[in-house]
Amino acid sequence: MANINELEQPPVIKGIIMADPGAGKTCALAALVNAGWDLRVLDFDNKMASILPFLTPESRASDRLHYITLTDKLKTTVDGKILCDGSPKAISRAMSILNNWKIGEENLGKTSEWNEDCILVMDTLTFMGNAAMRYVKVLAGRDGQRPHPADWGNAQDIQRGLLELLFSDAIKCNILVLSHIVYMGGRSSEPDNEGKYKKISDNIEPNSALTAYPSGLGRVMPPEVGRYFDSMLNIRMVGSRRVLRTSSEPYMTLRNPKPATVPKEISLKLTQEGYADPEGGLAKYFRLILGREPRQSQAMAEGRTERYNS
Amino acid sequence: MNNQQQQQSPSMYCKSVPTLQKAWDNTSIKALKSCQYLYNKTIGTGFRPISVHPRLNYGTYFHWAMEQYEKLRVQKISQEEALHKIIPLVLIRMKNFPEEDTTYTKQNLVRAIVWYVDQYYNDVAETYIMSNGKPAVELSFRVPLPINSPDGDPYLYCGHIDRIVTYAGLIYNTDYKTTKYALDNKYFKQFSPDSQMSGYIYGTKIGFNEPVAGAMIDGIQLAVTHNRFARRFVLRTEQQTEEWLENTCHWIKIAETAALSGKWFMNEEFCSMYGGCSMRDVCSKSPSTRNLWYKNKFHYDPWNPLDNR
Repeated sequence: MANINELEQPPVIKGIIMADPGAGKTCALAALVNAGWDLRVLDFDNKMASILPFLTPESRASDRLHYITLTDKLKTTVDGKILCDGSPKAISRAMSILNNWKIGEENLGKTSEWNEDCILVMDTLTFMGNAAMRYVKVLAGRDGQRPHPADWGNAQDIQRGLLELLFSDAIKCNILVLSHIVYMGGRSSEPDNEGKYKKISDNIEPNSALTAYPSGLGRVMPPEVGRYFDSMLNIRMVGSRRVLRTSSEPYMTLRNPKPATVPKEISLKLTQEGYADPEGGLAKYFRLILGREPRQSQAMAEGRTERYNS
Repeated sequence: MNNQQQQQSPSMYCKSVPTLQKAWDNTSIKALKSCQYLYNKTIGTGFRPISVHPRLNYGTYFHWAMEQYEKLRVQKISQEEALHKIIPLVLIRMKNFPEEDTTYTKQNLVRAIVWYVDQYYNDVAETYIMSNGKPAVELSFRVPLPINSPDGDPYLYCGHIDRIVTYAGLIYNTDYKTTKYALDNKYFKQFSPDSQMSGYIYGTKIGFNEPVAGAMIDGIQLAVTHNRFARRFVLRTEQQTEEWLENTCHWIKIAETAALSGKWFMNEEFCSMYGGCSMRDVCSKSPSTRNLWYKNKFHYDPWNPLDNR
């Protein structure tokens, strides 16, 4: 029988960060780069440029931020439909990259061989879901139409499959999934002909309170997504401050592996120069959970202390 | 299968243990998992039930039609012309097909073929063309497993892929599934976990050395007055594929133990499943008298995974 004293904390973080649009999910990643972590980003949102002002000159000059923008080419028709221009490649490209990151001259190798200083980021789950839906609708010949029930199931299988891959032991680096928030209650918003409110998802008890979930596809995925991650965090505005919430609230389930150690709120601070503070935000969260700095930043730790010591 | 065909295919059995299969496929493994005794009395010894419900073979006609269709299309023959060539041949093949069911009829099959071609007229999933210029349709594979037979060489896992397609830069192997049931989430749930799909994905990756993303189920719903179609991806992580491999090797080792000991055990829990096992009437008799009943219900018609279908 296993001895509980032999249990160890996982050496990596597999987390999801939920936030409303514009809260600063992508920009929060800058603190990690500035702290020395090696980020590899699957950018479904096409918003990586927003991170640039928050990177220190040293981070910009380093080789610690890699990303690939994964969007499908779209076109409009004379009757106002938005269709895919050619084959939808965003999700298929993501699936190839998750096997082996080789983009042009850049070859970062197999994701399964990335070390614990790497953080694989998916930005965002929402747009990844959209890409998956577009992928299945084009295959089914329903591009530009409302999704058929079969399309929802198919796209959800793809999203679930990708989450399972990220959660699996095959991927040994850190994982961060950025997600928008969807609010779901226990019943449909409109009663049926008999005046009854139907349960809107098998995963949610009827008449349960309005709850915030990560924005997975449809109604099935949002309550399911959280189970893949040991860290569920939220970024929000509190007054004029941006904070990272790490513990639950009545309408939002959050968690972290060290609730006794990690503060309920971590500020997403900027340095005097306006860069993301590598002592705060996500970098602080990683330091508290993992109990260490990334190896490449240990050499520059002394320099960092001199720069930010007030 | 006739004796001539049987003679042409290599033996699926081990030389040193003639009651043990060396070449396995999903049909054999499935029978073994259901009941060792059933497996031994049917696939293991080359016998099959004399009477089989026609619907079990109905899908094979659709598979054959689509195979011919894909081959004609690669030769740049138009869809209409291809259908005109194939439909009469399908009807000839189904000449003796008993129409005991209003769903499984020749007319419904022809309609399914025509409507399928129409549904996917500009199919974005294109048939993969192999390096020899031939379309990747109706391909047989035999891949070694990581366990050795008593002969000293690896066991083989065999399979037959309907079609390999490329879609949006990824490769999938596809499988046509004809059914009278609705093509909803409940129908597609049966494919995960599923040994056949996992085996096809493994076989395609190893047998063709291609980075197969997964499988695509091409569902064809058969109804009296219409057909419906749906496609669904079946994906497997590397962990799932490794788990399937370990599972399959485990079951083959069970067969090895049974063959070496000569004892194939009954799984009574399977007797009543799926409308009743084909061996139930035989197994319900005392063991010393079972042969008397067995010969009335089964005839020699070996199933060989090494056959090129």
